[in-house]
Amino acid sequence: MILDLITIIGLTSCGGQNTHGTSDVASHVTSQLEDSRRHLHNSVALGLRGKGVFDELYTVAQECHVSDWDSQGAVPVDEDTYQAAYRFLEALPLGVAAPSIGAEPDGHLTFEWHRSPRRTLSVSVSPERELHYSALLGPREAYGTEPFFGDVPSVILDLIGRVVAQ
Amino acid sequence: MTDVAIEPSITEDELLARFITSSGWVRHDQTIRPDAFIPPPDLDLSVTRHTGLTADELWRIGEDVARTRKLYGSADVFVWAVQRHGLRVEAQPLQENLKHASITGWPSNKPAQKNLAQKLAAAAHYVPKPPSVQ
Repeated sequence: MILDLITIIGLTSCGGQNTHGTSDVASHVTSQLEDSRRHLHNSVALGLRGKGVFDELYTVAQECHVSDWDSQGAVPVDEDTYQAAYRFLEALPLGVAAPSIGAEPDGHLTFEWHRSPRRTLSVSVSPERELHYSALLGPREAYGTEPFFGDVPSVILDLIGRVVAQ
Repeated sequence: MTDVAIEPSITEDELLARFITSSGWVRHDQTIRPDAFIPPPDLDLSVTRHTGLTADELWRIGEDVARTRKLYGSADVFVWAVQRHGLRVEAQPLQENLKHASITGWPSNKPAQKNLAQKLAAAAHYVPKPPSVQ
């Protein structure tokens, strides 16, 4: 039990950051960490898979994978976009608040953390693996684009924290 | 002179309907997600003007827009709430929808579009399609 907790704390404190070593040992540790993270993602308490978020992502992507899925000229959500969005979900830290999933008429998949109209964050994932984000935080706002290389950019983690903070 | 030519010009107190054809555009609390207001690649976001239409006529247009897809409802927003963010509303009547208009003037970069879409979504009011509408 204690070991489990230590493992959880250790993995959670890693955030979603990958290690970048290149030796066999480093590769093995990275692989073990990723396996453990996947396992914990199945947890109802800690993991987004346990909360049904991965299922929701699949459902939205399936509904929107054809042209004109909104009957108003929408671009289809393609496989590259779905894969990038899936990786983004996997890279979120364990214990993070679950986002809701959507799709935009330009074919991007979206993750939203929302508490009120002026405390809200939306992140779009493009097929080019770019993360376009916009947050409204009271009188302030922040928006921009970050590349997605497998780690969730710190600016987005910070905005998630600000939106969901009690 | 055609009907298209006699459509009145747009005023800031008019209400616009953005038809909701994706369940993912409405939150569980029945508010609108910004996804509904992200423009398509041509940057012309289609809406329908309420002015001069009965509720039945508006929903009939919505059903025509949705075609084979499910129509969930509409996100209604006033013209002034669009214009205050530097966007424009242009009447673009179509043969099949004389009340068709477009929200134009979108920035080309995606994050700025998302920022505006969040503000439009916050100003919008969701009206579910009444069960009586077929």
